[in-house]
Amino acid sequence: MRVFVVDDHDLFRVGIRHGLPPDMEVVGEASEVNPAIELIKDRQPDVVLLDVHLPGGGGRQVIEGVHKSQPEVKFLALSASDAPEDVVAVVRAGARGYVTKTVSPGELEDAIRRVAEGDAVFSPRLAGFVLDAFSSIPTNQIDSELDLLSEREREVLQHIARGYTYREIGEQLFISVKTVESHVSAVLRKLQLSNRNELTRWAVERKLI
Amino acid sequence: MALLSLLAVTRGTVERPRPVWLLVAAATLWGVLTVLTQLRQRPDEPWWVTIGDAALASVALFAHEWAGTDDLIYGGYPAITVAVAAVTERRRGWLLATALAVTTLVRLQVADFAAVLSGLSQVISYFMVAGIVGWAAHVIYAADQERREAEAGRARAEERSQVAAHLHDSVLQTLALIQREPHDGDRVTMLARSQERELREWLYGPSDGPQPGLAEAVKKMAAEVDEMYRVPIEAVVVGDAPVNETTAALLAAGREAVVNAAKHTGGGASVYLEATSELVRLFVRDRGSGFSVDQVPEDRHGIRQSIRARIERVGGSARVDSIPGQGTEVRLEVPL
Repeated sequence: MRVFVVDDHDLFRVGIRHGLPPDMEVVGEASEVNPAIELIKDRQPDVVLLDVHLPGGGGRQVIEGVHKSQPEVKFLALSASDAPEDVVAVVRAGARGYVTKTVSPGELEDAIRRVAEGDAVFSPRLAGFVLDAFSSIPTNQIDSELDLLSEREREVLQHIARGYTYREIGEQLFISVKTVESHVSAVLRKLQLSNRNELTRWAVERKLI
Repeated sequence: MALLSLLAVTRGTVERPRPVWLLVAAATLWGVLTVLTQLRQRPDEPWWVTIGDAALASVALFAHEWAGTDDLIYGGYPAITVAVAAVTERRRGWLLATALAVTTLVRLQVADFAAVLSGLSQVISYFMVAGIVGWAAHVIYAADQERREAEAGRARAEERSQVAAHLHDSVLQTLALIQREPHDGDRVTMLARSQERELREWLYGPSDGPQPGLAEAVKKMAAEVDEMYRVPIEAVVVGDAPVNETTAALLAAGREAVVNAAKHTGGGASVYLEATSELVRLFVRDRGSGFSVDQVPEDRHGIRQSIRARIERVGGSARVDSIPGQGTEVRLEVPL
């Protein structure tokens, strides 16, 4: 598996390079927005580990820059912060998931594989944020299924927020892991596409955007 | 233009007043519409405005023939365009206004020289008025912008000095402490983690002061246990609720559960709070080895009783689920 790392901390990039298992090859590194976009387009990795706080505009510029010509490249956002505003911006720009830098190597590897397979990676914090955001929309203003989480999706997110792994969620809800993954992906898509005024207003109230 | 038309009609020199009124109404509406939209300061004038302007102006030029009057009611229209152009500073607007004024004059040549002179002086005075109006509007707008920017600059400077003060106080102190005892790994980790949490809270927390409420209290509780026992406790909160007797009991029971998890598993715990206006639920999940109900270690059982008692006393319910090998989850629920 080909992995690309974009982060402005040298030491962190070195750490990643040595922390990944042998079947994941780091095919390139970058520490700034424009070089990152160019190199990613050139090397065509499967997954890009992207620090959301890059000098010169941040992670979302990289995502937007690459996706213009290569929308199939998958981004996993990494950040030292677990703050909702970073999460919102990057996920809506197209990242398939978000993990904090304090995550263990095993969890990072797992997250990379998940993203490579096309699934979404949700941290408990992100799950909580999504539940909060979508629950603030009054029911009489919902006119598209994008604005609403299904009962199942809500259940899955709640379990993620409670600290369950996908396998455990599957056992709890008597569904397969694949089903859990597809629910999570559906939620990610809703988060990316929902432009509901309420969702935006909720975010503005909390000074997230 | 409206005034002139009014004068002309009342003087009775207009044979067919209706087209005049129509034209005045149309021009007024158009003027209002364009000024309103242009006030939003778009960089270039949309093409429909230019075409609309030109169309209305052309009609105005011939209006006096339809209405059967010789009065120069059509001199007013270019003036309006000039005024709009002055306020919004669009080059196209100026060009159009000038073209219209020139065309008006050319039209007048068909009449007589005196008319041309009076028309010319009218047009010049219109331009002057428009120029003054435009300049005044611009000055007022610029002054307002400046005031706004000054205010924003002041707010930014104040915030920056607050950041500096905070950084100096806590972060630098923590770094100094760490340097003093670099070999005590545990202590270093604890100091680093507590400072990280605090800084993150401060940077990304609500900027208009802390919201007193259950959500904050739960996060604080998780942070405290995290520091005390040196295990990672992650808190996720959805919604909020006031801190009253009921929720305080929930918080206390929750703390017991979290401390219990920290003491017995060493792997940390996940705390999840879900609050609506009717119900508050708290989940504490750990990844210990779990236990089956029959072989519950003594004090975990004791803890369960204490937690349950606290919760049931305020009308809530408590539940403990445990799967050997997968950990334990405590679910607390209280009505509001």
